Amino acid sequence: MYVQKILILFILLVSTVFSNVQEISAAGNSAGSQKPLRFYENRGGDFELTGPDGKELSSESFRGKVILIYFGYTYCPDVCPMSLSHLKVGMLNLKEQAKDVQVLFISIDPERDTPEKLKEYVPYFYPTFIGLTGSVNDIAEVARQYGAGYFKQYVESVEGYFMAHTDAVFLVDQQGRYRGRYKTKWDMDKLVADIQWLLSN
Amino acid sequence: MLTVLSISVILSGCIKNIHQAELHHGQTSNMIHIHNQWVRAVPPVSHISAAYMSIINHGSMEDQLLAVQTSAAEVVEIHGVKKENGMMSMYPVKFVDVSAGGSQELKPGGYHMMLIKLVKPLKVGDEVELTLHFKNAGMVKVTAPVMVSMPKGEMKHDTKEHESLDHAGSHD
Repeated sequence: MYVQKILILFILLVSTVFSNVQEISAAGNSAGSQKPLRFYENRGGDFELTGPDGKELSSESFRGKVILIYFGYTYCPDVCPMSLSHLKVGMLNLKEQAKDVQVLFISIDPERDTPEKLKEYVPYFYPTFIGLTGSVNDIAEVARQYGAGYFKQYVESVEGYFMAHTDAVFLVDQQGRYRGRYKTKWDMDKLVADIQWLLSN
Repeated sequence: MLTVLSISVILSGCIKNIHQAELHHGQTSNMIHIHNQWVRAVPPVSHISAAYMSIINHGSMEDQLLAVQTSAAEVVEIHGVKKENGMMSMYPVKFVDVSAGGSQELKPGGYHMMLIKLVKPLKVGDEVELTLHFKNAGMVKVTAPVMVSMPKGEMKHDTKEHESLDHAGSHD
């Protein structure tokens, strides 16, 4: 338990440092600009987690599509459904190009989020959205790869605990390379423009 | 107390027209006026949701929202959301202040009422009765429509699906 706490703290520290770097560099591209999106050598990467049917699903199986990754949990009443709604808006704004984009909602609460729950929860927001879960360690590793932070907070609630988490969406290109990080609430126009840029280059 | 009451009577007289115009949006007590209330439509598998609203305090005393009850859920908790170390973190609060003559917004990414253990799934078009308990104003009942949250201004208006998906309204 102690080791786990230290590990999570370490992930947090790393992700906080990286998130600042990401946000500054992402701000360099204004919405609609044709500036090439930069690469991040040490960010992102492939992963394998448990898909909606309880089988392992690899990020490699989405090669050729642009991937958007969001780390959240289904017991989240406010921030996660809000962000999933924003992502739906992004998909609608992409129109027919939405078929070339895959949103992956990775649960940072695998103890409560089963594949079955995610299978019913995630596509509610948009039919092609996929929810992924996995072991506590596998999810911690994917979050570390992408610089997403989270931790469990025991609070005075009948829910027992809440998950604090990074509220951002990570952009991965058709070759599986990390290309940026966006706030779903503020950066949706820029995210849509960058996805369109990736799809046309 | 008499003074407070008389002030609220005078005030409620002054804003009577506003109240009449907004009656279908919300409910009023002498001092507290609720409007723009809505409850988030959630996937049927979800046992939780959230309620949002604007609370306006027409009184001359600060008030506090202390508790909320609904027949739609077994438990209602009031939560705040803060950003900490780049992460969004939710925390329970004992009350929400509404300053004298001021207002308080319960909105996505901020204060909200978390509906826990939903009695049945909430669908767009359903209505949820909420009973709010204020320290001074007492009990205020509101009816909140269940809506799909669609962020304002981010949906391109030439998108065909806009109409069908956004019919429930825009609230965040």
